[in-house]
Amino acid sequence: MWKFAVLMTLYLFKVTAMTAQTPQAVAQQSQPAAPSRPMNFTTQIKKTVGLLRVTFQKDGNRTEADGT
Amino acid sequence: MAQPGIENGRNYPIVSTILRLNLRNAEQGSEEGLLPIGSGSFHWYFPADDSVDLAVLPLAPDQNKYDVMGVPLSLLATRDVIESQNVAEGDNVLFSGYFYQFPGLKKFQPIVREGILAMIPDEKLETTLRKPGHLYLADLHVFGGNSGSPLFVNLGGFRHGILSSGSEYLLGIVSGFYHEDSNLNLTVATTLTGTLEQNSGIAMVVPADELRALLDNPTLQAARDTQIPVTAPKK
Repeated sequence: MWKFAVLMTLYLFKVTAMTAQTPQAVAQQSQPAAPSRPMNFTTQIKKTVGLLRVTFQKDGNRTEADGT
Repeated sequence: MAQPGIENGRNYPIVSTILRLNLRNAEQGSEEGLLPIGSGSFHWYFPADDSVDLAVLPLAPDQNKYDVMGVPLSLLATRDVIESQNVAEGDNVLFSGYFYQFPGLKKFQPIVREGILAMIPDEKLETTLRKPGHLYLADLHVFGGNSGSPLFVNLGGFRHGILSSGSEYLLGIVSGFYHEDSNLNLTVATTLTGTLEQNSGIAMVVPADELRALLDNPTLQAARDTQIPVTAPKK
């Protein structure tokens, strides 16, 4: 019942929190430069969100609730 | 004060919180990690107003690694923007959020939906926390998992009989919807979990002003300031 405004507004913070299950990022290979063009707005707003999964104890059972 | 683990007015202890984000390297898909909430100074921040259904974590993923974008504070449609840009009922809105029917196998697959701004009430409504507070209503179909989705209003194009060259602003955060029962009574429902009731198609949105008030918390502001390189003014 609560909201998460995690990514979109706090982008100035540094990531220190995500520690678990983090494989090393593979260095991206250089690719030929593509002509730049403005990113579609809907494509942009999809990048402002992630999935947040909260597990809480409810009536003796573990219950998961997903939010954006 | 709004706290994680509240459902139908009851407060439940949190066991864990996991965040899943897409990686810039598309072939790697997405990555999820357990957030160490409660360790050190890393914790949720809640609004001072206990009717406001918001919570914020001081977290900013590395944009070189994760395929994420931030929304500048200047794009928040706070009250002054609402007035200066003549935002009104009927304006187009859209959001991006979690689609629980298909969360994505290799990567997180957010869904985008659109609607219109339905009401900007000048009095308080019952929020998802069952307390009177400020809300916007949108004629927009939201559902379980959309809790926390950013809702944008489009201020460009043909609006109110005028062609304007505006842009999109963050109007607020999706917090819930009204569901209707067999007697067509409308009841507040959260979007954090799915419900079996009929969705009325009216979404509840926490105004950007409430988000801005929370982000202006001195502790959060100070934390942001430490991340901004300060340069001396040129002489």
